Amino acid sequence: MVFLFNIFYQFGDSLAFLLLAAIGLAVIFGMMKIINLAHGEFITVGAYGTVVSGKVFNLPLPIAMAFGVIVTIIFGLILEKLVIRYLYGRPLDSVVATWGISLIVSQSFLVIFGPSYEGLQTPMGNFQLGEFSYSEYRIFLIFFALFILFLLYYLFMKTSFGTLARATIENPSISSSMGVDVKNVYTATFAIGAGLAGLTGALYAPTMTIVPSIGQAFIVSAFITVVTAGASPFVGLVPAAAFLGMVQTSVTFYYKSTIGLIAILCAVILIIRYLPNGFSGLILKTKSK
Amino acid sequence: MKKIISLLFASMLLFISNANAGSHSGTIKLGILEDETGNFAIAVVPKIHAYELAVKEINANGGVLGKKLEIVRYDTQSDNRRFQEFANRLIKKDKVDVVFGAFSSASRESIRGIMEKNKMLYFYNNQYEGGVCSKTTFMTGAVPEQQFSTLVPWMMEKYGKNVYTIAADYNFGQISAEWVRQIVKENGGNMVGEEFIPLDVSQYSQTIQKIQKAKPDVLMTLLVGAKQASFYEQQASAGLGIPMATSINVGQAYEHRRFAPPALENMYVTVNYIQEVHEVIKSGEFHDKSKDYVDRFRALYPDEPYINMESANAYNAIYMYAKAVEKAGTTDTMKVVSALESGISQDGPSGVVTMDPKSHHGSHTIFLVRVGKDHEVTIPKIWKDIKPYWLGDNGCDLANKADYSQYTPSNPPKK
Amino acid sequence: MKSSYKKNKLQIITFLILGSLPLFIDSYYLDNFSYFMCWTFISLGLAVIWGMGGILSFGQTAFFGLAGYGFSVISINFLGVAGVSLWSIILALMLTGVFGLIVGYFLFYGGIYDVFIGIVTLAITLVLETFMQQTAGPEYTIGEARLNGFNGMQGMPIIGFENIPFGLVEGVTQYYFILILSILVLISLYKFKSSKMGLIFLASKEDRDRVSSLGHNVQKIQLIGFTIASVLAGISGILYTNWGSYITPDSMGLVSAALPVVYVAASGKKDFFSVFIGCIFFVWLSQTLAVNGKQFAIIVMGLILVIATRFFPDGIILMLKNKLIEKVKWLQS
Repeated sequence: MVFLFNIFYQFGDSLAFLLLAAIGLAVIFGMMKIINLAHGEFITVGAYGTVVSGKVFNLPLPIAMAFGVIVTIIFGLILEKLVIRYLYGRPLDSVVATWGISLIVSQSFLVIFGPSYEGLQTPMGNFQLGEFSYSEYRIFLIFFALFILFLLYYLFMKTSFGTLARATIENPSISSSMGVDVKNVYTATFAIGAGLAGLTGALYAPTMTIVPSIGQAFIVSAFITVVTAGASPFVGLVPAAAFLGMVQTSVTFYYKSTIGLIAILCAVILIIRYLPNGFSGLILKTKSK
Repeated sequence: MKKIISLLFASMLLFISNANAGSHSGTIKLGILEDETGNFAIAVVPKIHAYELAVKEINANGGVLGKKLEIVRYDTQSDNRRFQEFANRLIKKDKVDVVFGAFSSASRESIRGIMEKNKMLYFYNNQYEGGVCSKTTFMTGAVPEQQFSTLVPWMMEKYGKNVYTIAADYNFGQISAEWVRQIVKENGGNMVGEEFIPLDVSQYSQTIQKIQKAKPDVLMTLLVGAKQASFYEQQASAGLGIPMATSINVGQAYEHRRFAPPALENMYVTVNYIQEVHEVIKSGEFHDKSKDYVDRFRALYPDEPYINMESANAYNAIYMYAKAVEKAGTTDTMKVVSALESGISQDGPSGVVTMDPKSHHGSHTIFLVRVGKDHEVTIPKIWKDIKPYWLGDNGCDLANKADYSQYTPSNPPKK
Repeated sequence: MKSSYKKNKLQIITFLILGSLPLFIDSYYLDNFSYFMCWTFISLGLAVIWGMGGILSFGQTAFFGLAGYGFSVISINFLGVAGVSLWSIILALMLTGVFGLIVGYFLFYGGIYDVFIGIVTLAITLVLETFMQQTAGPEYTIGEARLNGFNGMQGMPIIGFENIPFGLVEGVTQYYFILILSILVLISLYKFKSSKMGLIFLASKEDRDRVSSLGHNVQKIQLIGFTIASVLAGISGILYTNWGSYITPDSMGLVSAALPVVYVAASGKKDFFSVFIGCIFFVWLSQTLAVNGKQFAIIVMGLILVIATRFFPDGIILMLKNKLIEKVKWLQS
């Protein structure tokens, strides 16, 4: 029993990280097809928004986190109006532009806040089970990540806004001819993606060192999870994160972290090769059978 | 619109392409290559200020050989390629007389070859994994035999013989772990586990579980960089509760000031200096020297977040160079090397530091620092004049035999 | 011959100027320029697969590192053997080419396209970097050559040709070595572009299926283009290693992988000459910014990239080149 819980904790922790790293990018890259190399910076904005407001205004943590998310949404909106809207339909150009944005943002943070900022303490406590002790917050993150994903799935797959958004992104000209304000749909969707990335930064901020490059820790995981999820990101994200998390946790358990990292990268290569539509393609195919 | 942008663009280029103004002759030029920006900036900026402080003081006292010292410095942006580019610039364009700098071992190694090829005197002023035996290079930072041979036996005596190491999975971490293994064995202890973690990892739940399973008395944490430093907050929130020991943290990037307590509770570090020395030690030699240094430092840089141990090394390096040049009567590299090999000492922020002629490394006062529950600092023990014995004992004798290599415990200089 | 002279007046003038540069500038600037030129080959490789074939690969730096390390390992192990430099270069490039073939085969014959190629090649590059970073231990020694992990590898001999005066590829010799190599590579690439294979490759960017239905083996041509790119990246790797006598896993990291993409996109990926000049310009720019701009250097670099994509999507250098030819009538053919 203790052993099972231990496995659940390690695996769930890895799953939560992959999921939360990927959610913002799933909207912006998975849905809108913008290769956002500044994804890490959205996370950084969310993290700094949380920590700075928490320290300067002495806000309780959940309010500080909400503040972080709002700041990221505003940041995303500004970016969308200035740069991103010229990149729709040009995925490869978005690489260069978002890389430039990433440089500007990360360096600006360095100039404004210095190389390091005082961090926050992880909320909640810990408890003992057998010979191991566990952080309650990290268990909370596992459930919260799944909850957020469920919300997103519902939003984009079941509500009329979600259907509208997906349809518009897939075929903007038809949507436009039906009277949809395409620009606003894009802007709103991008803002949601930005806000989600900000949420990731806010959630993980109390557990990591607050440096301008904090977002960099998420970016590779985010991309590989979104790509593994496949064409329909909200269907495939959980299975993708679960699979990759399992690979990484088990390989690291038997060998070492470096091999675990290499294993997860190799897993992605194989998935892209043999499952070109990712996990969502696999699920939808089996469903339709 | 496009025209305006192009015009702005062109003028921006014109503006930035104006190179630095020419420097004065009749000065001694000190080249400095340090990471003012980038991942390593936190620990490096105090070094840069320490160089500037030392130069200012020496110039106020008449300079060296009647000439003023002049700094030519480039920001290497924590990027090895910049180190290479600017090393060449310092040597060939600015024609400096000596080079100081580098934080990570990789950046040091990326330029050491260039320095040696051009017979440029080079001071590396940072702690590292040890083993560099190079005729034209001098190391003022602490090395494993100074930091671990003091720290590990003390921890084992206080807390128990079972030791677990987590280390960054690259040269510095691997070699430091090798040292720990060796010292634990020599002192009759048990390595109950070792884990090597790549530099990019920031999530440690699995690592923490593995540590708990092994039930060590002492946890050696040889973690490098901001991502790996996240371990401390995560282990505290998981309630790990094992005394930690390290040679890397606190002394360089002042984690005890930056992380919310009690992330670093019960952490022990061996450093060759930190700014708290005179706050903790209320009187005596170390108190006076530390306070004097910090006062002068803050007079010039009142907003310095933290005056770390590498700043003391940087400061001492400039003074030692100045002394050696005075002694040699010239800035010619090989003559200054000989002067440095004649037993130069510097009475600096942490007491007397002596340059070992055999290995070109500095001896150090080692302070054992303990971080408490609210991240307050105490100093349970001080070791005076710990010599960098390993290279000399194992065949590196630069005063008599030139060499340009780096050795490790598993690859010592051949006798 | 006369017609190709007419068409390429700008290129010829540029290389005449570059060829006479050593007469006017001193050794530091020359070495620095050689350094800038090292990076042109990896960028040209990317211009081949991305500019011509529409295939965005983040894997160029993997081949860069592979060739750099391969060159170092071979030349360290056969130190002193006659012709070691030439053989190290040839063997390292062959090794890189073979890897290019393997990766390319996996990609194109495995049906991987578009953005997925970027992800897969990035993953391969990161795997290589992660692995190489931890090879610090003594067990990671190939013959006499210790890989030395994160701290990087040193001690490889400078490329040299025995019994020739000025045979050591450093200083002025290095400059001309790289310059002549650049000219040869550019001429070859232009020939490739106008060859039958090149035209098919260009067409495959527009519509893969249509080209394929006309009977051409699209995958084979993409594989060839990819391999050419990998060998070019390898040339950069070897030249860089020779320049600084040093190679490190850093050169295969996330930032390093993105740099060629950025240089090529901002220069004008469709034109080889623009990429050549643009790469030199952007490496120079980022260095100059670092010297003068300190804190703001990276911000300015980012701004330039954003402005370039926003206002000059075909590439700044290409746009400038076209404007120059437009204004200076004599340059036109």
